Amino acid sequence: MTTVTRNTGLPLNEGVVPRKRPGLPRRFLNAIGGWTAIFTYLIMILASLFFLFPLAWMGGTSLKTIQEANGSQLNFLPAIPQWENYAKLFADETFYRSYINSIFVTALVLIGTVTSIAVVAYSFSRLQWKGRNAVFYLMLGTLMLPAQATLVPQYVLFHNLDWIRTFNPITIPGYFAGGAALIFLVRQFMLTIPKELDEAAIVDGANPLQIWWYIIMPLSRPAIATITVFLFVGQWNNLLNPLLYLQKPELYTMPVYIAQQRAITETPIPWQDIMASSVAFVVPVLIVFFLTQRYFIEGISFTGSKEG
Amino acid sequence: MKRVLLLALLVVLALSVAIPAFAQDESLEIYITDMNEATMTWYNEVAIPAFQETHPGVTVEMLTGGWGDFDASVAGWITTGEGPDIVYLGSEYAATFCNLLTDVSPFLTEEDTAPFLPAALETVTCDGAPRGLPLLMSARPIYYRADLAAEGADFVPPTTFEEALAFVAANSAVENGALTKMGFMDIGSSLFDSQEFIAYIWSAGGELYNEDGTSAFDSDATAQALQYMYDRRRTILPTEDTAGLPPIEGAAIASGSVISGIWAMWQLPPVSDPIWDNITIAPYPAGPDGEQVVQVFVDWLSVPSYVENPELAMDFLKFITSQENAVTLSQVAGYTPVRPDAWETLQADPVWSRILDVAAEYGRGFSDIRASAELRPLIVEQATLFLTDQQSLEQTQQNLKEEYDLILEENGYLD
Amino acid sequence: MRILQNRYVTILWLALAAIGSILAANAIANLVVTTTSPVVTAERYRAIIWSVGTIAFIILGSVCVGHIGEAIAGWAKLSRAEQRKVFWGVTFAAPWIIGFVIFVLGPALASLYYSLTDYKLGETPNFIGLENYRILLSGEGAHGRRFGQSMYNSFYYALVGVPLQLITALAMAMLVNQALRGMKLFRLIFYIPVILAGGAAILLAWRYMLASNGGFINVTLQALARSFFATDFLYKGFIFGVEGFNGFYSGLARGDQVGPLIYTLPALIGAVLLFLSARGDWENSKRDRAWLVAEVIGMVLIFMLFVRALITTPVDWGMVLLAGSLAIAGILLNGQRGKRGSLRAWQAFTLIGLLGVLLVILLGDTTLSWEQRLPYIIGAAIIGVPVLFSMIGPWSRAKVYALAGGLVIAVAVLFIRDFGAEFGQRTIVPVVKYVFLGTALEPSADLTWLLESFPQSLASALWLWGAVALLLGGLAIANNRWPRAQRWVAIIGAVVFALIAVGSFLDGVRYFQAIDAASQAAGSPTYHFTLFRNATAAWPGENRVPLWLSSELWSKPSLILITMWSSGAMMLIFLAALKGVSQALYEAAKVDGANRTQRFFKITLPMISPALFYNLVIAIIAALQTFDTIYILQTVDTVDSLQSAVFFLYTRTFRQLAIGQGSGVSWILAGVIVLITVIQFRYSKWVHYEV
Repeated sequence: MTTVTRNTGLPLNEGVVPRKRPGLPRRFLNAIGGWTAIFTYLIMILASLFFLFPLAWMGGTSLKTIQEANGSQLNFLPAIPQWENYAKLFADETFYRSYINSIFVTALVLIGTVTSIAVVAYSFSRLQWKGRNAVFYLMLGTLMLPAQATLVPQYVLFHNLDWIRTFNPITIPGYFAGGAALIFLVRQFMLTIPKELDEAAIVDGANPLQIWWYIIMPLSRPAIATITVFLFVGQWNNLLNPLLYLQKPELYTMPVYIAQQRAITETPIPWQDIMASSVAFVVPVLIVFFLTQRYFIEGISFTGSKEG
Repeated sequence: MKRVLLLALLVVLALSVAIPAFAQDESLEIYITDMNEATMTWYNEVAIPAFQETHPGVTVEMLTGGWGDFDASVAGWITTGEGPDIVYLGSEYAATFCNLLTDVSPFLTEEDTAPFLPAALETVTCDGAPRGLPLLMSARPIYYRADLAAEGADFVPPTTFEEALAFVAANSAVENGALTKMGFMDIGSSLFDSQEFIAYIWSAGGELYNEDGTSAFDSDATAQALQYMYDRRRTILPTEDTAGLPPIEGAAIASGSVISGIWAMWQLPPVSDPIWDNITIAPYPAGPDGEQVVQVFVDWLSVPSYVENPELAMDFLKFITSQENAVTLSQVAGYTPVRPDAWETLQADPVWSRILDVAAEYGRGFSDIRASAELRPLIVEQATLFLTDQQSLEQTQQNLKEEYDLILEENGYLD
Repeated sequence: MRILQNRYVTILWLALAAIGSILAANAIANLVVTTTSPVVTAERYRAIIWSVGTIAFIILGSVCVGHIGEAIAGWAKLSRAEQRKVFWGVTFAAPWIIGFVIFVLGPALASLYYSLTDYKLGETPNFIGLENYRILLSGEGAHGRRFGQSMYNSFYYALVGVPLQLITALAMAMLVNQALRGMKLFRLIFYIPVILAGGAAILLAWRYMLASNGGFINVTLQALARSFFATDFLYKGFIFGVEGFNGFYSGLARGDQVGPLIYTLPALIGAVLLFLSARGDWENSKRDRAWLVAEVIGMVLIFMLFVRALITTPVDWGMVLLAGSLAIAGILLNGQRGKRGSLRAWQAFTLIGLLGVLLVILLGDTTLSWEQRLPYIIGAAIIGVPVLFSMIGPWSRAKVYALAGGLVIAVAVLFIRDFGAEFGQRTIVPVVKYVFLGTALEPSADLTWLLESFPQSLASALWLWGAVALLLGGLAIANNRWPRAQRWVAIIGAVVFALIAVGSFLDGVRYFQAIDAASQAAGSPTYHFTLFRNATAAWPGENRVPLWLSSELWSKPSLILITMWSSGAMMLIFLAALKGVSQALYEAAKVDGANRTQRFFKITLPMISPALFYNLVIAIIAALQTFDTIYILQTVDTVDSLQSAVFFLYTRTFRQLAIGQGSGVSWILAGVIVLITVIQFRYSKWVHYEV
């Protein structure tokens, strides 16, 4: 926590010895940080309403009856919470299957992508070699072509590899450092690590692989944590590729499962079921984010290199 | 070290050669968009086992999808030539996918096609050849809340554009710059729908094409249809900056603030709902030179051209559209069969029988819409300009005609 | 020699081993899959086996590629140490390189090929050259028009949306960066929309938030507006401003005539730039800035000229001269500044461009007569000879004179050819008329006459930009030689551009009014500025609310609101950067008496500028490629006003099955994004890196 206090723009009370014990309201005010803090909290709470709306809506709807979920009144909460909606969901075998598929695919993608990105970013930031900039700009260039442009040729490629209806089209491309923007991010971070560290290691006879593993990786933890979260959220929510390539109900991941729930036409639309599975889908991400944020907020500084 | 590597390599190569591709049973995959759970269960537990009895050794697999991802999926199957053997398509797709679908006429006899409604068969036909078989139809008449109509007990469904405008005027209300009561709502609830527009051209006595195949958007009927939709919009929304109704998530017709509209069955309350006693079902109003119609959409099962065994696919199609199965599907899934010999059970239901009556008397299939994927955005663009006062009627008609002719030419409809 | 041989043998072995590992994975996976049930378990095994195989493949393949890199470095006669460095560098970069070749390069080349054909799904592709590009860029027919409009929409998201998004994200980051309790929770809350992105929940939530009647946002806004007269004024002003701006923009996007207004913006920017250059001393930094501005303008112009050359056949020979003079300016500037890399790049691109023109003129179009071809050849010679000369030997004064000579001749020819008359008509005449007669244009009810009397030549608007670039560049070269003259040139230039700006603006407004009156008299023909006219005709009355998703005027702002709402990822990056700012700097500034605002602009902003730059680059690319939200939000009423270039690409490819033209769209879009990104990098001087 010390890092946080160090960085505050507000005056600190450290070292100031209070002459007299102040009254209770005053103490309360001090405890939360003074009038400025109250004002800040007010803004934050107002903003939070705006940001929490979808989640609250989702939670509320997931507990409604089907009539309430389709009613014309704007109600956040059901008259009587229908916990059976969740009971029904957890009793559903296909839900579990999709859930495990999602975890499985996300784990495979994360392992491959994070490692390979760390390796590639290392080459683009710490190693000096002729032609590096050309390759680096080529990599940035891949960001520019819209993904939809290569959808059809890519489908043909995966078809020729016999990958349709397997998990491969979702998992394997990640192992090849998928995601130019994230390589860019990690590279920017690695550039800030002092050069002297490598040089000292080279003098000690370390090769680049050892430097990467023993020096750069431990120091790059915040950047790696950040891209892990970005990748996790991105893959967890990925709908288009699984939809295109999995094509078999047994292989569906959660986003496809939820999309299928909506594709099934019933009157009226069972929004409460869809929302219940959405809540179940989102909660782990919230938990993971909340627990891990300490690692990646520690301070990625973008200082260091010139050419961007 | 190198020797070990070499050995490993050889083993690997030998393995990859030694494991042959396993011969698979004959299989049939069916891709169906939009299906409810009961129907899915019926397919898996009743229909498919029954089919397999007559076709032993054939595995049948059902895939479901939504309309949202449909386009990209189909593009993938067609480019690679590998995909489901039977693909569920909407009304206007026959023309779009024409060359990509198998001509199934060799597998159909007179006897096979005779029970189907001719309009439904027309929907699945392109370039004179059938590309599959129709599965279900949905008529889209106008539904009126007779109990809420301003006319009270005197309410009769309007039959002409003029009467319809008067009805909408009497039943719409704006308060504080926002709609509180809507005399009419269309299927997309944005007061303009391109399918509905085509229906009004028909009900104004017009057609989409001239005899030589060119676009007939310069006709008087098109002008009347556009003008009617414009007047109706102005009657409901006096200015373009009027706010709409509060959001309605359930069936709009049951909300009480919408008095009439066109909806698909799934946007309406279940037929068992008592509210149906208050709902009047009627065809679209007609122009001075035309007759009332009701648009009928036919969903069908097609056989793509990459399919290696179209005969098997057709066997399944014939099986699933048979009289017996059509009756069952109408009960399980709420489909309206496209063969009148399967209508009996539906006609026993008072609501369904009313819908069927209107459809039988006024129905017109939404078929033969050429280059529909390009026509639709064109209509939307031009009509929106006209409806929001950015373009005159004449200019709109001229643009529609000229550009549709170009599209028709590009797609090989004009020679 | 032995070493060399060994190297190749190693490469071969590694490649075989890499391929072998994949084959093995495939074989084992097939074996496992056929003996395992149910399907899902089998497929999970397959995925794991493939992953292991892929890892082996990547490791072996990377070392292999590293050796190949080393071999190439060997051919390039690099030193042994350099070769080793290349080996390590390429080996580490190889996972990406291999993936690029397999998963990106092939499909990209395929789509590039498709874009040169009339490929429609299910039909055989025919090679049609640049036809797709011509249709799209010239706005021909329904597809061309819709593409043009979708590009306008994409630019809207980039120009209006991205700044708002950056401000929101930075504000959120600064809020949660305070040392207060519970910030962890707020951080999470601000990030929630990103986690939910795209799900069914968000779709429903948006619909309820943005409902024009009874929606969360409108209810809140109305409550705020009613609470106090000033907020009511702000609220109405907001409605008025948004509707007016979007009305005008949608008129532009639909391709309406804007008449002389097209000159106003370039002239105004030119005047401001030159005026800024006239102030103070020409120290190095200012010279550099002037030249960078000139170079960027030059690049954009050449790109636009290139686009225009694609769609007009044959290319106007004036274009050759205009592009050529800009290129010469680029060469001169880089040569004078001793930037060898940029110098070589400019020289190479100029020669390639000229060669292309000559090829097209001499071989491509055989219908041209020699009289028609002559101006091109002369033009190419005026530009090409000095450029060729400048490429031989080291940079010298003689080269500067030769290049400057070519530049002067080219500009003179062009000016005489078509700019002289334009210039007078656009600047002096309207100003004089307006100042002395009080009127510039008699409103006429004849629409055709109006449209004909104000031909809109893109080239002449580009000319203004070209003049700005040349002037700025010239000033930068002249630099310390004639400081006094330099200032006067800048001031005179600034005055001239200001005159053009004012004149064309007045002229434009009059023209606008006249065409408006004419269109009304003619009984409402196609005139998309109607939306603008209606929106600005009166101050919003009581009970007016933003219509959000149900109106053309509010659809794009709704989409931007949603992107602002889900800018949590950007916030995290800002936050991380803010944490990295040293506290000592703030303390020092406080001691110096800097207030909050000063501290923000002088310390915070420069210190986090690398994060800002990163976010800016990524956000602009993302904005130009907007797709998902449009896909979810579009309705019949708003689809045309929402659709981005990528959405158009999607419709064209997957709905209308025209893969050829769809691919063309993606390459045009890629070109635009590359240009914008290059400019951003070129202009990244404001990014402060702490070394």
